[in-house]
Amino acid sequence: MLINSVVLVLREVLEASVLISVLLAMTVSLRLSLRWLLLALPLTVVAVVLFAFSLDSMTDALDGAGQEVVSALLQVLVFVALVCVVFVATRVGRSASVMAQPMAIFMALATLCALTRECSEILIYITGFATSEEHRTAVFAGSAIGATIGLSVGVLLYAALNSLPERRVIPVCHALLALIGAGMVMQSSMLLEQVDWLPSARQLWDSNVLVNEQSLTGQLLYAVFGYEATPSLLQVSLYLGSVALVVCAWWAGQVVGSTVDAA
Amino acid sequence: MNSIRTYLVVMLVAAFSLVSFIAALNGYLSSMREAEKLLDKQLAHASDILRLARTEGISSRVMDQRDGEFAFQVWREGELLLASEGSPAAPIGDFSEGYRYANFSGYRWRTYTLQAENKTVFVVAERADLRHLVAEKVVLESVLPLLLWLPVSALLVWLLVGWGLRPLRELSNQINTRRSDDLSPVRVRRPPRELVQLIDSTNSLFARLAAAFEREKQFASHAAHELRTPLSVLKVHLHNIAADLPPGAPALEHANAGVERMHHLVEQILDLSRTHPELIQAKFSELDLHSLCQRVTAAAWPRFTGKAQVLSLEGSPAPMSGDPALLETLLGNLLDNAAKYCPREAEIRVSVSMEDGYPVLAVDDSGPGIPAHERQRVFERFYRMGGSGGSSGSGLGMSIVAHIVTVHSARIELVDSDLGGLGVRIHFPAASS
Repeated sequence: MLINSVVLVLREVLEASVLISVLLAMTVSLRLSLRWLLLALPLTVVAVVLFAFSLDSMTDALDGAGQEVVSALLQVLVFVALVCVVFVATRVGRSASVMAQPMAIFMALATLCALTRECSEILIYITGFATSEEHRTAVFAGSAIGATIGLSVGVLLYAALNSLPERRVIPVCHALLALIGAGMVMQSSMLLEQVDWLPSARQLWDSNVLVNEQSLTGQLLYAVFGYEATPSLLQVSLYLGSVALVVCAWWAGQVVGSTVDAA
Repeated sequence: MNSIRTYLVVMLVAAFSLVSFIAALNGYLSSMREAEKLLDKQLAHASDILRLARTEGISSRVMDQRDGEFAFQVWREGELLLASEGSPAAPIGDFSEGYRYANFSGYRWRTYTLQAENKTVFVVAERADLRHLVAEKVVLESVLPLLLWLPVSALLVWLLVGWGLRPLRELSNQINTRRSDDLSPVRVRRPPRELVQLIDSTNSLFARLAAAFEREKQFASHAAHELRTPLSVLKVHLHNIAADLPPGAPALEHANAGVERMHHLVEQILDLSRTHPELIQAKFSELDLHSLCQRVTAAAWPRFTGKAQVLSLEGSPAPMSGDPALLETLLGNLLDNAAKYCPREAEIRVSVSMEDGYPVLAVDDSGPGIPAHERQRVFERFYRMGGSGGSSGSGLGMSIVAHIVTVHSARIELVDSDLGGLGVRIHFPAASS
């Protein structure tokens, strides 16, 4: 039970902490304000409380697919916000004062959606076992260990990103956001496949031999980059398409920036 | 994270937690595997005991005490000879010897099959979830302290990092708390290797600054001597020439006025240099600002009577801490400006008051005043309003005032006076500070 709790909580916390670390590193590198985080955190608390209260009705909605669909929707929203962050970040370098506000809004939106989904998952898991006396200690201890490991990785990633040479920080953050965003889309596609909102297609390959999907590494790779050992053509297309979309957002930001500067 | 201490503590706690928790998880998994092996051995022993009991004719009822947690079957050639209460009628798994898992009675079971002589097969089973629970309880006892002691280790890291950064804090305190004119070398007791270079560089910078200030100070005093002497000689010569010329000769009048202006300018430049906040060594003492103003206004009186201007002093005693000589220069300059820039018969009022326990000096006049957009610029050196050379001012008076205000940690503001001209307000700190 302890190891299950560690894996489940670590998976969720790691996803959030990696995302927030990358956004924080971008904020520091672009010399922006941390207001977005101060805005996102209280809103997350409200959103998680609302989520918890409406959990029963949400689960029963859409023929029992409500919770999965809401989770998938939140993940897609995170991806959209990240694409906007990459687009705007390219412009911030040129006109920081104008772009700081939209940047803060998109960062807050990405953080809010990601944290709401992940905190809700953890809340559902922990409250599910809170009444079971024989499992309570293991679940709480496992959750605490998982959360601490996840936060520690986030803190160290932030330090690593900050220690990069100034000109490398933003490109590395963009690359990480592309992978995290694509991972979110991948996870949402799996959720929608589970509830038959997307067709189950034939698998393209099986990489369980290399990294088992159920192993700790597999679970963590799933959490951060949406690793799937037996992906379908649709999933691979979605993943690559998402990465391509982030690259396009970066390129569009560059082109629009050059046009505006030239004008 | 702008604090080195916070940064180090967060990073160290994160790294420490990550490594120790991953190690704890590894330990947990290894311990669980060992516990499983131990429980498997016990299961094998149970099958031995069952075989022995069967061989010796002892009732196997003794094996059937752990109600619902343990099950067994004894088979021979497809016939169930003996079974625990609640075990299924069908065989629990196949009859090949070894450990495996089986599902029956709504639970998952860990089973062990023992093949004995005369084709008798003994199968013992234990509920897997309970085995796991027992093992986990034991292993958890070794993991939990790590979790519970994490805040203590974080506190220790906080204290140790603070202790390690003490030389840096000491250096920072020494630099922060020293007076602005104290350029003596900083001394840190047993400085760490990383700080030696910084301390050396700082001390070298202080030494160069002290030398530069000393040179500037010496230049001011030398310049005072070198400029005053020829001016005095010039004045004597003009006096002698005056004896040979008819009284009121215009050329002589102009020459005298020029020498006077130069004399004033030299004195102002020297005052400006002497009152520089970085160079001056002010001699602070407790004084009454009102009494000081009385002395200065009395001395300045003749300057105002020439233009029929009215100079008045109002207010009450205001104790404060300050350098009397500098404060006299300050008020003298303000009055000098008022006398110069105000027209004939103008009114000039000096007032001293206490506002919320802080002494305030105010000089108001009914002159032309200063437009709001030019008020900040009057403190610049050689700035004269409108850039006119019409007045006899050097453009240094207000710069000297600003220097003396800074030396006294006071605040100056220029406002519209109720007399219609300029109002100067100087807010001094309280006497105790």
